[in-house]
Order: sequence, then structure tokens, then C-alpha cells
Amino acid sequence: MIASFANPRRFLKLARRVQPVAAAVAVAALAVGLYTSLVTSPDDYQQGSSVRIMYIHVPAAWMALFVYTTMAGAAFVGLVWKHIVAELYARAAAPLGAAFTFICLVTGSLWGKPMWGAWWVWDARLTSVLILFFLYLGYLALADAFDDEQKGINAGAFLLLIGAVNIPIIKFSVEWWNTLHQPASLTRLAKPAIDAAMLLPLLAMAVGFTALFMALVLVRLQTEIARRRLKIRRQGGGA
Amino acid sequence: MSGGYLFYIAAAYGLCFAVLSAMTLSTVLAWKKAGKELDE
Repeated sequence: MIASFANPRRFLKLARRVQPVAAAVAVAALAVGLYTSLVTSPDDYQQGSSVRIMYIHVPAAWMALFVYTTMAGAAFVGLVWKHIVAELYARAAAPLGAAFTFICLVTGSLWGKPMWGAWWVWDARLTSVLILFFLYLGYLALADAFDDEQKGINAGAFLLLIGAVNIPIIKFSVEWWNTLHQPASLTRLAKPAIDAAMLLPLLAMAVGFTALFMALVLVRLQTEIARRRLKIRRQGGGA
Repeated sequence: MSGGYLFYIAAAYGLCFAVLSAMTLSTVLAWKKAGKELDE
């Protein structure tokens, strides 16, 4: 299936069908998420209304990790199989991943100040997420640092694969080290440790962020493909 | 919603949706620009 989308035309056909659906889901889920997180969800008995920041902080953190993982996967596919769409995917997704990581860091800081009494602590989880943000920025700088676009894509792919070691460190940092950051409240294997009234805004925002990412990354991929076509056309190779 | 944390909540949501909006706008503008150049 992955190999079949190495053909940009086939990929574009699918992207044009999926993208409006993802955009519609994003708008609906974000509207539900905003309403439930700011209006209907209850205050936390310890955190008070500051818990509402969690409904954007946690999904943004999930997205930061998810986007990087998909970029590293695409970098591997691009390096091994010279898959054009996979090569372009990382370039298309990196600014979005950086934006989600930025949202995660800033909203975490805005929650940390009233709850921990500090905007920032050099805790293992916070520090490893900051490193992730720098990895995104580093990738964006490196991918654009070469005159030969392919060299930039390959160098960026190696950086993504090396930086992937940071993903399990972020995930397990709260278990491996004694951190101020709390451990995960939601895991795949256990019953959620939070009430349904709080789970709904969290999941609605998570769906909204994921669908928005999908819609935007598909548009950005189409832009990257168009840019590449333009470049080939200007070099006299036809469209 | 109880008061006390309103500044932090407003700043977090304001910043989050400002970034998401900027992300969306820049993506759409880049796409339109590329499409226009491709059509020329």
C-alpha cells in the first residue's frame, strides 16, 4: 500500500478526497472540544479551573510525539525505498509538529505557574520535550541548508532517525526519573483514571488536533509536490 | 468556571488557537501561491 502512493498522482487523487473530510472533522471536533472544555466540564477538585489548560496541553503533547514518529517513519521509508511522497512528508509535517510542540510547551508553562509556582523546571519530561522542539527546528534548518534539495532531504532524514531516540525518552521519562511532571492518566491497557466529563473535551480536542493535522499536512504535501513540479518545469524537464 | 486562573486559561487557549490559525493560514496561502505559479 505504501509503495502504491510513491506515485504522486495516485497520492494526490486520494489526498483531494480525504482532505475536505479531515477539515470538516477538525472544525466539528474543535468546536465540541472548545465548548466542552470551557463550558460544560467541571473544575478539578485540586487544580480548580486550571485543569482546562490540560485539554489543549495533553493533545498538543500527543501530536508533538505522533508527528515526529510519523516523520521518522517516513524518513526511513524515504531513505530505504526512495519513496518520493515519504521524502516530502517530513518537510510538510515538520512545521506543524514544531507548532504543536510549541503549544505543548507554552500551555504547560501557563499551567505550571499557578500549579507548581514556576513557569519552567528542568524536569526530565519538560527538558526532553524542549529537545524535541529543537529537533523540529534543527530539521527545518538542515532540510533547507543545501542548494541540492535531495541532499537536504537525506541529511534531514538522518537527523530525524537519530533524534527518534528522544521519543521513548519523552514517553518513559516520568517512569525512569523522579519528575515533577505527573505520569500518564490515559494508557491503552488501563481504565482511564479521569472522569468521563473530563475525558470528553480531552478526546474531542485530540480528534480535532489530529484531523486538523491531517487536513493541513495533505495540503502541504500537495504544495510540496507542486513546488517540485515547478522546479522540474523550470529546469526544462516538463511537468 | 471558577475564577483565579482566568488569565492562564485565556492565555493558553488564545495562544493555542492563534498558532493553529496561523498554521492553517500559512498552509493555505502557500498552497494558493504554488497553485498559481503552476498554472502560469
